[in-house]
Amino acid sequence: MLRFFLARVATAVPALFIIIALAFFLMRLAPGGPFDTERALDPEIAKNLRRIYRLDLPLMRQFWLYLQNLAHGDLGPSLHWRDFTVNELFAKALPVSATLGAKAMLVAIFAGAALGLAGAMRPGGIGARVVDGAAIFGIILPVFVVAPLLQLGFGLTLHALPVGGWNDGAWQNQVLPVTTLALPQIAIVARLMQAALRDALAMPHIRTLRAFGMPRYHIYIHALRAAFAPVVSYLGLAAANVLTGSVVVETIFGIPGMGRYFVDGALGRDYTLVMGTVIVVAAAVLLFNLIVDLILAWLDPRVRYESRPR
Amino acid sequence: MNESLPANPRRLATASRNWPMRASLAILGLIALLCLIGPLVSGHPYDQVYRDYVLVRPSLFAHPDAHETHEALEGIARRMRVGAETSREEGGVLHITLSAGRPIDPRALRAFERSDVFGPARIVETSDEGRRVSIDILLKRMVFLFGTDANGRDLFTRVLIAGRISLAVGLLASFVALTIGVAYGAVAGYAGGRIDALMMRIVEIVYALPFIFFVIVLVMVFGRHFVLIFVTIGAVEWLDMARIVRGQTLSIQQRDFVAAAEALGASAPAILWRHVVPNASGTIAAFLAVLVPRVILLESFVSFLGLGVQEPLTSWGVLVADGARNIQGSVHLLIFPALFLGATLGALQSLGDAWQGSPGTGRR
Amino acid sequence: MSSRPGQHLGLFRLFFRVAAVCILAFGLGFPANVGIGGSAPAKMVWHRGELGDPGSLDPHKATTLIESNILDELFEGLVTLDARGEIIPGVASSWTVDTGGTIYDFKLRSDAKWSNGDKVVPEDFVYAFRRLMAPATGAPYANILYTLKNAERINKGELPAEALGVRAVNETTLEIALEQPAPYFISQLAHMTAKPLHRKSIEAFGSDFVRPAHMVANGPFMLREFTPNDRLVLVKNPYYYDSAHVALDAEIFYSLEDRSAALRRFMAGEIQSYDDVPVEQIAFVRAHLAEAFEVTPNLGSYFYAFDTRHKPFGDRRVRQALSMAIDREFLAERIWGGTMDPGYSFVPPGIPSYGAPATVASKDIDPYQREDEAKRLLAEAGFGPGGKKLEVEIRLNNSENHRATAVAIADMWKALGVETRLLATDATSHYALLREKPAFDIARSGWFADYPDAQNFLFLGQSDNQALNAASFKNESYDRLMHEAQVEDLPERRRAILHEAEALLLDEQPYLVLLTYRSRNLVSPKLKGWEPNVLDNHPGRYISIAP
Repeated sequence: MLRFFLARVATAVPALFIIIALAFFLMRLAPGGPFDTERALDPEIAKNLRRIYRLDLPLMRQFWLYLQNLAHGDLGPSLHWRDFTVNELFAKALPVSATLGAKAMLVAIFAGAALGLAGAMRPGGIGARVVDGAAIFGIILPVFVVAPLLQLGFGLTLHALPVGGWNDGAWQNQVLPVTTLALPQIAIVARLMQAALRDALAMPHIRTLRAFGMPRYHIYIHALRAAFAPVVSYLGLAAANVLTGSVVVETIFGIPGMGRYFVDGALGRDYTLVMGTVIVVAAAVLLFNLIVDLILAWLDPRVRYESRPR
Repeated sequence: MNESLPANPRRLATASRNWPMRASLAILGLIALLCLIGPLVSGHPYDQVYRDYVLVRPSLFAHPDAHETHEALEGIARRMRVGAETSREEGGVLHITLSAGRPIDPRALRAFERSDVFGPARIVETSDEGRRVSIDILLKRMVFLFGTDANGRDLFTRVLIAGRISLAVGLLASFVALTIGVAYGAVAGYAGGRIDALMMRIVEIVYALPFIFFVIVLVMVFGRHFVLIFVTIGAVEWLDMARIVRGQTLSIQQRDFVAAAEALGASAPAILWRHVVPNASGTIAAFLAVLVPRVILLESFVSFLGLGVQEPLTSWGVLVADGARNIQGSVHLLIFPALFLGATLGALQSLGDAWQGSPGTGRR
Repeated sequence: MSSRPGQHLGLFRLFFRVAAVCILAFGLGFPANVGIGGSAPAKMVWHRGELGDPGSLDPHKATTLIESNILDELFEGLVTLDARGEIIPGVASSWTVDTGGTIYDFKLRSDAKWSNGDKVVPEDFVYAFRRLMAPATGAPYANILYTLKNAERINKGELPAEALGVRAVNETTLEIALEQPAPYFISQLAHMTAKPLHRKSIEAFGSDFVRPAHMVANGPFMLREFTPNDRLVLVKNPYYYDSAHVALDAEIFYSLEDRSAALRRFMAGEIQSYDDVPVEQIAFVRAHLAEAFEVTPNLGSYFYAFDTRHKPFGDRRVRQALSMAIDREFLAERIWGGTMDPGYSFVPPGIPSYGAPATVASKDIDPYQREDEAKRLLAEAGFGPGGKKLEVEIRLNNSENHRATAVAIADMWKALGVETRLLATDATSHYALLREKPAFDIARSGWFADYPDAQNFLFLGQSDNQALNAASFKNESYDRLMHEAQVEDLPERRRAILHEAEALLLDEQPYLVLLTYRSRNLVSPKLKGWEPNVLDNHPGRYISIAP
């Protein structure tokens, strides 16, 4: 297990480096720079600014400097939020995003698993139809349509919840964003779960258990264990999907998370901020995949051997 | 055997699996057909701006109604700086008397022709040394089934044109992803060993690259060539495909007929092409049904960020994003494109399910 | 880890444990529900929605209108703006100008204080102006105050900061020397670049002086909290000389980028004002929120820049023809829902020192004659029937309104036989285009006044204005007129010269004037003291909130 773990970590580090390099140079390909705003700057002043932020150095040198700072854990000053360093911005935004993302995923796993279970118990029954219907509904409605609808329904019509804002993470302010983020994930998890459970129920060892007249709940527990693998392996991908959703959710609900930095940073050519988000997200995805792999390896020992190069 | 468990409902399942498949295919076919033919017969070019009909609500009835006629007439009279009085309307022809303090220049009458409400004007009678002119005007008749957008363009036509773009983008990107993914996966799986390990490591690295970042930057760099972007997106979406095909290749490779082909001296590409790829085709088809909607949704996300397709062309993503912004003002801008987008994605989704679930879709 | 008996039960337990964590996590948010507004209902707080966040609270690094709005609350310059956007004395109680118009003496208020109790002294201004011009500061808008003596040369590193024409005469008098007379100098002093700064806190904390813990302000409010993308909290400054008349206890700015969502938050009462209304929803707002909807003329122009360096747009006739074919009333009324004014002048109306601006000659001709004339001009330039087909590409930054405007214009030009393509890019790429000026046909642009003076618009046509002359317009008589206006100190003559320059600019049409901005505000009827004004500036000092 430890060897497996170390091998995975060893590949993650070069992966991260390649991503950093790729993002760094890709970003510079985009036209314009951080000081191109509605009111064009005086050329001399712009030149001076580029010098102050060391954007006038050769690109390779900038990259090297960036890596040096990064080695010290310094993501540099933000070029748009000029009073903050990227580290400071993330210190505030990461917990917010993590909270939202984690809650959304938990809701998705539980609601999805419940729906999937209901669907698998009676194929073709009402449960299965609800799953199919809900799943399709959850997948086809873009987040940026769901969010305004929820705001209108719960905020403006029912006056039950705030329309937007973070308000230091008060639970009322979290309900709608979490729901919006979770909806498509619920759909996906439910479908994965349903399919996996069906397969699992048809597996030989479960059939044997059934033949022995084991109680039904017991059989389902066994089936669930087998069915969790695909759901768990989806979670790595889900982290990335939740991020896409959170860009929209944070913009519409006005939440101070990472998603907005991701998009605003790229659109505003805030190079350091963009690099910071890319690194954090890539690291999170790598970490997530690692955890997922570990869980899978724990759930099913065969994985450990299979994923080794032959 | 416990009755509530899926004992052997195969016959039932096949039947119940088949109808959604057929329904999905029918829906997709219908939408594709509408998008192809609809714009030709809708009577409105997709980029035609009707200045008199900005944000008209959807309706089965023809425009203009009495109010619109009145408004348009007032507007024209104001510009011509004349007074206008409608005497009567019969059979779509309006009799109008124009009057002014100075002789009316008949050339100014083309104002009527230019409007979207009236046809050409015919002078019936001129009196008072040209200061009073009676004219007959034919009213135009237009139907805006889905209403019009903020520029006064027919939403029906635009939704269908958008469908062409969205579907094309979805298919094109998926095709690119498919080609790269299948080739990559098959090679990796077939080659095995170190090459396989290396190739899969690369896939893992690209997986960790934040995808939205990639898309945003590509759009910024290649902004003017929309299709190019989606070719590029396809070039990123191949990862899953590569993994799936590699897995399939690994398992197929151990089957007897591959060994037989190898023994007969078939070259590696030939084996890949003749045996491995066809055997994975069921999975590939199912995956495609997932990929196309994913790309279409992705396009809509890009549109939400304001980086969508260039005017006057449009896509469902652009229309839905615009509509969502407009949700309180003019709901029809959201409902119709969302309906089409939803129906397409839903149909593709259940098609994918049916495909994945039904036996015998892969060639044996 | 190996499989052990009863592990399925473990899995079930895990299931519940995770559920418990989930519930706990939700619960944790509960006690955190204390905001400035929520905890003390007796306090008077203005919840203020803004289109974005300030990029910096350092007056020398700020560039946007939002930053300017917040900095006006935090810092007070020699002069300041009242609720109607008019200039009133700020820290300076009075001032005198010498006969040459280049030496100003400002008498500072004796009761002006910093938020830590220190007196505001002339040295604070000297320090701030020197810092503004020092190249090491990297102030993006330093050039606005190039009117100060030696400022430009200091900013370009040719002179030391001490050479700046600003000095403290004594404990209460500040003397400012100008490079040359500038009739608009007093209005410039209301700009955010002309704020005083508290030297000791900057020297102690460096660039961190903008943090809530360190910032020492001299305006009606001081900084309590700033979380990017969330909120910025200002509280009343007890040391402000007029604090007895400041009704608000706090102001909270929320950065609300999504306009439609902001509208919904306004409707739910979560914010009491917002500085924009999505154009698509104007009809809805007019129908349902009429009493909260404020549309006011604004000192901003919306125009297209022709690339005058290249054929065919170097030809005045082509530019004139394209301008004539535009139905500006339609754009203003139908595309922008009546929240813009048709623009026939380059300088927007509403600048007291300038009066009514010049207008394009074709304004009063009826549209069909205008169209004939446009076709004739195009034919003269070699386009249209018998000639070449004119093809135009409009470059714009992507937003629904700019798109809709360009689509409508393309349709209007169709009547002239002109074929128009649109090319929308993200905002940064677009602004980079305007700055780098590769060959293009037409690019969308606009301008908002830095200070209310016609020169601040007309200088966009000066050939030496490299950064902002997007049209690359070069016209010797125009440059000469602008120079004459610069050195003219008789207001009436200066006005006449500027009018002449504007008429020339409109005749040449390097900029196709389209619309004049109006500001669109949502203002709760409970907000008292909010006055519409051309600068769209609404100081919290004059605001109170009815229960």
